[in-house]
Amino acid sequence: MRQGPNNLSAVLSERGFTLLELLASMTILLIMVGFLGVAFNAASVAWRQGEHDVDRTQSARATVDLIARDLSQALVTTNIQFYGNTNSLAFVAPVNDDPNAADLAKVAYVLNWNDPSLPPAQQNLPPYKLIRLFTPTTDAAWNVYSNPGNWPTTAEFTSTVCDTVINFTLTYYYTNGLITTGSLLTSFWNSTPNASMWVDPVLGTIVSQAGDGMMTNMPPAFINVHLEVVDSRTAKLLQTIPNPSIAYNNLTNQALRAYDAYVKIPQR
Amino acid sequence: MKTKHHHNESGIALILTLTILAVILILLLAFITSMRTERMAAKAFSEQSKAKALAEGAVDEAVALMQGSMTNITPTTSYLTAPGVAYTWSGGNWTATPLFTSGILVGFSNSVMGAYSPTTPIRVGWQKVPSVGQLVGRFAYWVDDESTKVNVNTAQSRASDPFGFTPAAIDLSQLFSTIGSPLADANAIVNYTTGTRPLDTIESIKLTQPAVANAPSISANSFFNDEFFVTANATSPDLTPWGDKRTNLTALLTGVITPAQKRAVVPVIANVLSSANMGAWSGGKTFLNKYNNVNQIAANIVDYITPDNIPTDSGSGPLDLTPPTFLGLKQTPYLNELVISNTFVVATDPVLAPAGTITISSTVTAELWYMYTNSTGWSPPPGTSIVVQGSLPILINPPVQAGPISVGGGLVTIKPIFPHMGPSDGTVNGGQFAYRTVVATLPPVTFPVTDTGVGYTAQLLSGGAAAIFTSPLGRMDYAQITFLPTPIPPAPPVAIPAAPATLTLVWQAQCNDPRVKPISTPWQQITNGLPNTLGTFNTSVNMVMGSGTITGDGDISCHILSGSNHRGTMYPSELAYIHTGIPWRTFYLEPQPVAEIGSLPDWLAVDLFSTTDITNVPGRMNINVVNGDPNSYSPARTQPLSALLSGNPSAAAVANNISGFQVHNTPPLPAFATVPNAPNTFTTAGQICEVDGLADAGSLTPKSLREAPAEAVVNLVTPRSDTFTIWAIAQSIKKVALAPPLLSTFVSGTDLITGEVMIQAVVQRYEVPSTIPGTPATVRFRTLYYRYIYQ
Repeated sequence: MRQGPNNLSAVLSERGFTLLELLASMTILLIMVGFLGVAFNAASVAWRQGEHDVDRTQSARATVDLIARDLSQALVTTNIQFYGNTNSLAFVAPVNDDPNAADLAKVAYVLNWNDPSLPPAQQNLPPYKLIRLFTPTTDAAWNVYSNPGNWPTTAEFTSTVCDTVINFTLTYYYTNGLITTGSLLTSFWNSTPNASMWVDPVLGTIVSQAGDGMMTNMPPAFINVHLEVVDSRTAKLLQTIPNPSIAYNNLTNQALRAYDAYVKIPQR
Repeated sequence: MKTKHHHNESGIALILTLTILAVILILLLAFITSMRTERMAAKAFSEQSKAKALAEGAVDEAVALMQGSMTNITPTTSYLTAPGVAYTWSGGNWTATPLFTSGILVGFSNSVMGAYSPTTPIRVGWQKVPSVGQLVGRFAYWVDDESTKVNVNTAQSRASDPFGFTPAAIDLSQLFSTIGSPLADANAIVNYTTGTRPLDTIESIKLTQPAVANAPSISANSFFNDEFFVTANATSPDLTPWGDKRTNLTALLTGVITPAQKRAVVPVIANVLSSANMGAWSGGKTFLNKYNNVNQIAANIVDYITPDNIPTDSGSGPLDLTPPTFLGLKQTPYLNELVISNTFVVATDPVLAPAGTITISSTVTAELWYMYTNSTGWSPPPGTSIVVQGSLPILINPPVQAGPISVGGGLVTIKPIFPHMGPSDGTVNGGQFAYRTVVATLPPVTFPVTDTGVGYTAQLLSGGAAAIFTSPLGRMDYAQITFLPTPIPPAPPVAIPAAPATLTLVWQAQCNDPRVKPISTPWQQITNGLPNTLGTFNTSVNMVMGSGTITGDGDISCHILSGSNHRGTMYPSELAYIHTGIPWRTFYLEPQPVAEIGSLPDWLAVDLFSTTDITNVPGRMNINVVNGDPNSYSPARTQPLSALLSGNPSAAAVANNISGFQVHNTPPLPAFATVPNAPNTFTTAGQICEVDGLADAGSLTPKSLREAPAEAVVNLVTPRSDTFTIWAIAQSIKKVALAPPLLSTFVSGTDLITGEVMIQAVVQRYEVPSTIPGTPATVRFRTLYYRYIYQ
């Protein structure tokens, strides 16, 4: 019985936190929370940055891997041609997995190829979409690729390979290692033996020039695929910023990452 | 209140702490989850990349094996191929290089390998890839020989070329014999490849919605059933067994028109038949050792191809009197026999009695034969004639004048316009012929003589007469009668008869079958009473003054029984119509006669010539079809051979004999060839003529019937391929069973396959000529087709 009152009395007799103590402890706590907040924010930024890096890397890796896989199977013969300019290319490769159909398919990679899902104002603005056109060879005539003037204007299957592209540049190399150059384009490839020009699928105008003898019925020895991408969050932001603007440039400069891959194509 | 405050403050700290901890925990968990996902994604990508790299490595290893085993072809080195194996001749030995991974046998799945052998799919062994003793992956590959399949881009319907004279005459419809409508499928492919464009890959025959008419459209089932019997890429090197480029006769003779141009080509072809490289390959022997006059053979080949009807002649013009060193066979009549008949008449002279006269009268008879005439026969061009020059000097004893008597002398045109010949006077060697004889009687020579009581003898001295069958365009044939150097013994004495009467001695000299024995040497003498052989069939010649009897089999014509005329081009199988210069002897495209073993077989000539200048010829089929897998999990590929042999009633049996190397003469190559046969393997294309049941079927006669089955296919075969399909499969592996004994092996059901890639690659061998003279070319491989098949 005595103990109870004694305990209560002890408790009651204890001195409470002074204001100073409380302020000190709260200050310490605030400092701690502040530090923690800074650390948390830093971690968060780093995390987001890392996520974006992963986002970009994966996106670029998958894109370059797909292009490389398609390109490394490209066939070029006297009947099947290969066309490429700085931003797009088209070829034929045995990439059709349908067991009931022929193995060959027409494959093309272009930037923002007539994307109807985008408003017209956005169609030719970054971030671009890199589109893969895929048409199995039910067309026995193959005239599309034997005549550069008949660049495909439709494809049976189109898919967006990467929708965060800022720049997609292709450079073609001869077997001797030199870069192909032309008066109209920094680098291009046209394997047709005739000197016909080809119509750019995006602009609808003649942008390429006739190939030379070293290109005739041959694929390029190597292709450098240069891909610049931003992460998907930045890509969404970019779509809200009119182009060009300082904010746009700042944003892309911060978020942009460039990837290069050299793809070897088997020579006939 | 204080207590309450105290409690509240403690709670805030706790809540704050817990909240912070929770946030940190959530972040940590999210980070871990994210990292785990990232790691797994990266790992999956890495494992798939590893499998892809291993599969690419498998293809590279296969190519490296091929590069090492498919050496240059020279007189002392060579290579042969079959599915899954390459044979290399080097240093005096054949070495077999298996072009597949061996070891523990696992099967490629049927989904990839198709139904090549439905019950026993291709089986190869896994090649293990360890890392520090632990299995991390495995790969396998198998190299198929594309030339053992039918090339759909060159195959045709057999009906379009029943004699198989083109590399295309392989009956594709024979392959589609089990599923679908074989003829329709084959026709669709042929129409498409010939009318539209060649197919780039074999799967292109599956085009199901053709945008153009006649595009092939076969069912998937049909495709999978025949996938390993057809190809779009097969090529083979166009080389002789000793590595020379085969000679394209068509190209060689394009633009060759004038006699001088044709004459100039003869030594070029003769050099092919007697090339030093052939000698280096065969211990010094060439066709020059077997057939003395390779120029004559070359001239026959030139005349087979060139479209005019003027034989290629070593002489200088229509009336060149010198004996030809070569005179080609053309589709024109030829001098079959030339007879000079002297009638030696001794008579009493009623005015000069008891003296008398000796009269020598001569006739020259020429017989022209036109072998294998057609329904219209042959009409001579204006100015066609036969000209005889020279005489046979005769010595009468006792002499009636100083020196020998010459009947005739100078050039005598005995038939300025030759009559139309044909269409047929009978058949010989299975073909129709027509013949005409023309006779010229020379003015007689008469001498008064006195009766010596012992009679007069007559003797032919050294000399001769030559007949030229000629037109303004050139010398068409040449025949000669000579007696060199020994005079023919005198005829028995004939005395002048007592009463007014005459005694006659007919005394002939005959040149029999000059085109069968084309270089003139002394010919037959037919004395009193014996008939000459004018008008008889030419099946043998009794070389009284030569080396015995030779019996003919074959023909001396350079043209074929069917009446087909392939002028302008010549396929190697048509060598069977080329006369070798030995009487009645054309090249044998059948098993080498036993008596000739030790010399070059005639069929070797098939490997000398070509119809193209392409180095890697598409469409020829490899007759080495036995799978190189010693475990024989797949059978020999005989179905394409049956398509090759289409039309042959014994196609299946012969296909089996080809795959089983059932041949007549073993070894069929000359024993002295420095590159003999690899065991049970063909070394040259011409060797197919040795196959049991092909060109010996029933020992048919004549030769043209017997050899027809070989002629139909010999253009279309090769012993080696240039083009190969590499099937490669690779898996990346995560080891779960980590006990040391199991560390380096795959434990089925426990260990995990983390990635798998298959690659189908078609590669082609080619040679880059060396820039340094005398050094061999470099063997390289290029990729024609490369396909990733992900699982």
